[in-house]
Amino acid sequence: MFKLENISYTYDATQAPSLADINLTITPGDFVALMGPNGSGKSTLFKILTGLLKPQTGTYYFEEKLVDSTDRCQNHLHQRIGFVFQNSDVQLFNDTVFEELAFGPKQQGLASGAVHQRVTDVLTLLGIEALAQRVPYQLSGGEQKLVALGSVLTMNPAVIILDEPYNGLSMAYQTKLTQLLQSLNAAGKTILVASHNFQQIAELANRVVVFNAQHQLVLDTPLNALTAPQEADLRQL
Amino acid sequence: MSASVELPNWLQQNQPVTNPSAKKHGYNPLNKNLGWLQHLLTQLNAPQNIHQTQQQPWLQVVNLAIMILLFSLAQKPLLIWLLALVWLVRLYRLSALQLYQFAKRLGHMSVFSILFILPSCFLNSWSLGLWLLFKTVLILGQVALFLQEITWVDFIKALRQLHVPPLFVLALSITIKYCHILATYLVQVLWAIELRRATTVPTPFYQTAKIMGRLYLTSKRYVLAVYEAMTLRGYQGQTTKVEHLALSKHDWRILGLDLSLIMMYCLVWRY
Ligand SMILES: Nc1ncnc2c1ncn2[C@@H]1O[C@H](COP(=O)(O)OP(=O)(O)OP(=O)(O)O)[C@@H](O)[C@H]1O
Ligand SMILES: [Mg+2]
Repeated sequence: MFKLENISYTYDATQAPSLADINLTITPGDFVALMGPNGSGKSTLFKILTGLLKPQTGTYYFEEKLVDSTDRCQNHLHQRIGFVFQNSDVQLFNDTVFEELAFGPKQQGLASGAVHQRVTDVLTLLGIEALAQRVPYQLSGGEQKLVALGSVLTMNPAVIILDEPYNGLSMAYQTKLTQLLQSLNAAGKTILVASHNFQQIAELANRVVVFNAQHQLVLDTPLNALTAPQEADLRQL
Repeated sequence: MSASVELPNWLQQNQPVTNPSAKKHGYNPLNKNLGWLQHLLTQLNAPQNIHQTQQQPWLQVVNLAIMILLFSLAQKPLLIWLLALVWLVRLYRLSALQLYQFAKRLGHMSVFSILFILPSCFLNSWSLGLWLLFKTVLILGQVALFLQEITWVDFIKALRQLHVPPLFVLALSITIKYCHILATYLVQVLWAIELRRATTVPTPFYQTAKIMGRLYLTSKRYVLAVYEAMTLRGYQGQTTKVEHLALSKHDWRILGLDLSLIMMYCLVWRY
């Protein structure tokens, strides 16, 4: 699905790279957890995967095709990958939650009946029917996170990327999110999650990828193959 | 294992990708406008390749002022030639990329200045107009070089060192930071839109206008939030930060050069 070869990214030419020489392959149906200290480059990697940032060196293949900046390629990337930002409040730009969820499928050219169906399904799925007519900016942080996730789900992407999705969610919603992500993965979606909470990750993912403070990829292993000292390290993050 | 969630049917199927080349649509105002805005913002946010000098920031400002003054007062070709020579020597130290940025900046500034100078060419004589243009480009070259050699942080420091009224310095420094923060924020909002918009379906014009309006409202809200955060941390519009004039060995050399240029100006002017 994703194949990264020697990817490096530098925000500022005067500073050290924020991602250093990353090699990573992700196959369809994977459930990958990304871990690492603050500032290690998790969000940067996600922005590269979604085509928002272009790496200065290295090659990036998505579904066996080389990713470039043509409209066609970007369009393909954006329709196949859904991305929930770390600060998901910036992700909402419509007048009501309903319109927010409908924006994506409308852009994909779905008929209005199908769009309506998808929006109501997702509202029910996330348990946020009551918010449908609210203004997205006036919602609480956790509610905004759910709406951002909903706006991605209605597009039915093959890959779902979530940058620290558990932040700001109540315990009840955290459990709910865990169950939802498991079901989505069972239905064949590839899922990438960045998180600092090993407990949650251990319940969810089948593979963990770890960055260190020097922005290098230092560990990439199935979760059940983690050794005890490695696991102890991850709990510290 | 926790209980699984019942997913709707469509969410369990694979979504076919609508291909941009499958349907050809004409003008798409949303894509056009957002693309333009995004380009502008990334330009604003792009790190500048600044040439590091060993000079004190305040001296860079003084140096610029002296050079501009000399260039604008100089009437004799000999003097202008000498000044231009000094300027070219300073250019020589820039790297290839910095030179390119410098040339681009100078080009943009010159085009604007031509707009102002052309009328004088038509009204007065061409030779006078061209002379004026020549001198203007040289002066703009000084400014472009200055911008290539100083960061905003240093420029603010220079103003403090030169005892410019603190309120003015503070206002300027906050404006710059604001613009930067706002641009970073707007880029993220635009990313969010880009991720969910398709290039296949044209967005109706009213929707484009609505999104643009929303963008304005969110940025306003965001700026207010930044202001609140600053107030909470005790920002009251005054600053206690004092920067002192400092001079290094390198600075004395620059000062010496400036003084000799001024002396030369006086000499050439008299004969
Ligand atoms: N817009 C930017 N401009 C300059 N540097 C940046 C920018 N965004 C991130 N960085 C730097 O890049 C590095 C990686 O940042 P990134 O946001 O990817 O980290 P992260 O792993 O997601 O951290 P966190 O766990 O705190 O979310 C950091 O050192 C950060 O300072
Ligand atoms: Mg992050």
